[in-house]
Amino acid sequence: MNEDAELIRKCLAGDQRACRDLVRRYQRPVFSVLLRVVRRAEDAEDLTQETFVRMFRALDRYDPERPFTAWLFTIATRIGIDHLRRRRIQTFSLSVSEPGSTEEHTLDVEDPGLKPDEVAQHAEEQRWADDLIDSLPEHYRIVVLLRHQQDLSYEEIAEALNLPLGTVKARIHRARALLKSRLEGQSS
Amino acid sequence: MNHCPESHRSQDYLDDELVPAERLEFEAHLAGCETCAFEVASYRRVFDRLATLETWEPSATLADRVLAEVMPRHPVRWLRPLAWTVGVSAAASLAALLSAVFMPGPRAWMNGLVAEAARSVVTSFVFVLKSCNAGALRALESLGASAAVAAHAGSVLRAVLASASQPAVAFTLWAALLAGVALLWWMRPREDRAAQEDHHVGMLGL
Repeated sequence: MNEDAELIRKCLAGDQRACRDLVRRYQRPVFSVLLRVVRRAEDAEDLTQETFVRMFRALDRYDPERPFTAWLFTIATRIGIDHLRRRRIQTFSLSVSEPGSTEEHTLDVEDPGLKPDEVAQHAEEQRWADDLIDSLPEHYRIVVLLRHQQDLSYEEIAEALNLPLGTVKARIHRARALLKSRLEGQSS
Repeated sequence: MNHCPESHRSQDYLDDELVPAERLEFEAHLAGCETCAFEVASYRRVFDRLATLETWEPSATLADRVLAEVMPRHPVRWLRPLAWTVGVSAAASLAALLSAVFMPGPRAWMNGLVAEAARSVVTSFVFVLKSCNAGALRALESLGASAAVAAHAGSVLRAVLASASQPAVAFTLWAALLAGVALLWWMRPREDRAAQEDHHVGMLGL
């Protein structure tokens, strides 16, 4: 039995320590994806909490045959997308991302666990990677994050986002093509 | 812009989505196609950049807040029986009090009961005071105190004892003593149940 399955079994038996361990095990990836999606640390924190609350309340309906990560990110991404719909957060696409994107990024990472001076000291390579992913439209950004940051398969992403497999694959390919163009633009 | 018809395989190749035969075929193609080789190298840079994406930790209290929201409140289990017990006891007490006040039979019985209780309390208190008096005198004598001091202390104690022997005084002292004990008991340090770690609860029975 893998570690996730064991933790879930204990959680279902009411073991508080296991519940705490399960949250701590996944709070960083869930928070990071949601922060990238909603771009505000305070909102991402609230949505991360909501994700885990819903996860616990639905845990008895979790199918152990499915990868737990995929199931958890199904909840997280739906909450994130719902939030975006409610807040109508403006995203900036590749065509308008060049001016002011660095400043926007700095505002995004006002994370309680991340000090501003630490953010300022990031390597240029890291900043480029962050700017690149932030420059993507949100429907591309989510699939790329799930694929490259969370290592979900195409099938798992399709299930998490309730999208056809072909749509997911096409979005990821287009997103990478956009990123490639952007990288080539930086290099030239 | 890449116009090689094989270039569409670049991402699948890096994604490890090609079956072994397709993979070998595409690698052979890459060896002879500079355009596709450049395409794959460019995508590899994208993959590498995405692999370095930073992640962040939420605030340290997140797990506590989540658990506080999903864990049931413990008192729920025993609150109802406790409420019934208190309610029934209060109703019975009220009925007894009313009957004692308004009905002659219970009132006489209650008066006798109160008198007996007061007598017992006073007797017990006098016994305790006498014991304390005797003990204090013996202690003074054993410590070598002079007979005059012992006699003086004894007379003071006897005076106190005489005063305390009055039923009203004794009753007041006993009431004060009991009230003090009750106050100290109420002020005792209590453990915070919420701070207790790792007890098992029926969390998912929400």
